[in-house]
Parts: sequence; C-alpha cells; structure tokens
Amino acid sequence: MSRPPRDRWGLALIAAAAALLPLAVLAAFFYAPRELSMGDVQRIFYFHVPSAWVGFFGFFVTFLASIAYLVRGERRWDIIAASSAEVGLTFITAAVVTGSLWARPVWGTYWTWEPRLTISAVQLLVYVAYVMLRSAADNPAQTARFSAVYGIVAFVTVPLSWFAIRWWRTIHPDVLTGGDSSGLEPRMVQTLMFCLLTFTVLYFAILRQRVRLEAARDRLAALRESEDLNLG
Amino acid sequence: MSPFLVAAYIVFWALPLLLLYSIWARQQRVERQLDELAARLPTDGPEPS
Repeated sequence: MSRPPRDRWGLALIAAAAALLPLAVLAAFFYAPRELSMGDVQRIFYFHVPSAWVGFFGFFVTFLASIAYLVRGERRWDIIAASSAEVGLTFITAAVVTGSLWARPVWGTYWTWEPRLTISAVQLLVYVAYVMLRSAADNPAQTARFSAVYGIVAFVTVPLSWFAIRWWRTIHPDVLTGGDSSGLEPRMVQTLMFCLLTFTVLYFAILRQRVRLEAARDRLAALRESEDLNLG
Repeated sequence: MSPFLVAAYIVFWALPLLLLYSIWARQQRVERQLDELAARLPTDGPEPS
C-alpha cells in the first residue's frame, strides 16, 4: 500500500511557526517596553491574548465546518471540525491558566467569578465535553452528526465571552478594542500584533497535523474493512 | 523576573508541545497498524519495478 505523499505545506507551516515563535518571545521580552503599573508580569499579555484568539478562531472553524458537514455530509468537514476543536481547546486552556497567573499579582487572586472568567470556565467545560463525546461514541456517522450540532450550539460561548467585557461590568481589561483606554504604547501594539500572527500560523501548523492524523485513521479503518471482506 | 511570568511562559510552550507530541504519538501508532495490516493483506498484482 502506498504511503501519502510528503506534506510540503505542513512542513512549511511548522518551519514558519518554529521561526516565528522565538522572535515573538524576543519581541515580548525585549522589544515591548516595560509597563509602568504592572511591571514585567504584563508581558504575559503578549501570549495570553493570542492564545485566547486562536482558541476562539479554532472554535469558529469548528462551527463553520460543522455547518458544512450538516449541509454537504462530507467526511472532510467532520475531520476539520474535530481537529480544530482539539487545537482550540488547547489554546483556550493556555489562555485560562495564564490569565490566572497574571491575575494573582495584579488582582490579588488567581480566580474571581466575574462574567468573562465565568464564561471562559463554562466554555472550557463545553469543549472538553465535545472532545469526550467524539472519542466515546461507537457509530461514526451518528457521532459526526451529533458532534456537528453540538459544535454549532457550543459556539455561542465565543460571542458571549467576547462581548462579556462590553455588556457587563467586569474587571477584565479590554485590550483589543479598548482604544486609548487599553493603555498600550505603539511598540506594545506591534508586539501584540506580531504574536497574534505567530499564534495564527502555529494554529494552522498544528491543525494540519491533526487533520492528517484523522485521515490516517480513515485509511486504517478502510484497510481493516478490506481485510474483513477478504477473510469473509 | 516574576515567577508568574516564568510559569505563564512555561504553560504557553508546554501545552502546544504536549498537543503536538500527542498527535505525533497517535500518528505513529496508526501508521504502525497500517503497515501491519498492509503486510497481511494480499496484493492485487506484482509491485511496479
């Protein structure tokens, strides 16, 4: 049986992410100026915000792919939805954990049940359940359909989380759309933008590998079916 | 340097690397099973030279 051809795009994405990540760290630590009130701990923002962005983006891709699967019924959309949710969940977990690490010295506590943080915790559990659902079910077609519906409904947590800091009174800072009130100097904004780009490339690099894994599992399932037919 | 900053950057590196390692390990397992199955299945004809 022939192996799939070497994945040039996948390797290019991994190489790009591997080149950009050290530069992003250097920018966060040496290019961006030290924030006056928070000090060095503010540098967590340069990776925290991109982690949250990639998490949201990953769930958005799951949402779109789930719709596409329900409309067209093609397996590739189900693969993209499942893969993107797993990548998004990893980055949202990083955002929540590092947000807590930032909050301890700044707010004086690791966690407080304010709207944004509460929605983030719920969102995390919702997508953990999505990943568990996918790995637990027996009937692949039924799992794909049910997961697609779940992936669409679960996405409601993303706009809720995004608008939580605008709709309700919250202590969470609004860095991306806060305008002048965000308190970011131009070099801080440039660093944040570069980190957003870096994490987006990293997202696509990991997503591609995850999609290839699912494609390999499909080949394995097809081969097993073929073996069963030969034996039967 | 703040220990919170150091801990946060360890998390930023560790979680995506863990995911990548998990994907790689699962991929290796699937490919091993693919090779075993391919070796057991009869081929349709001679391999092209």
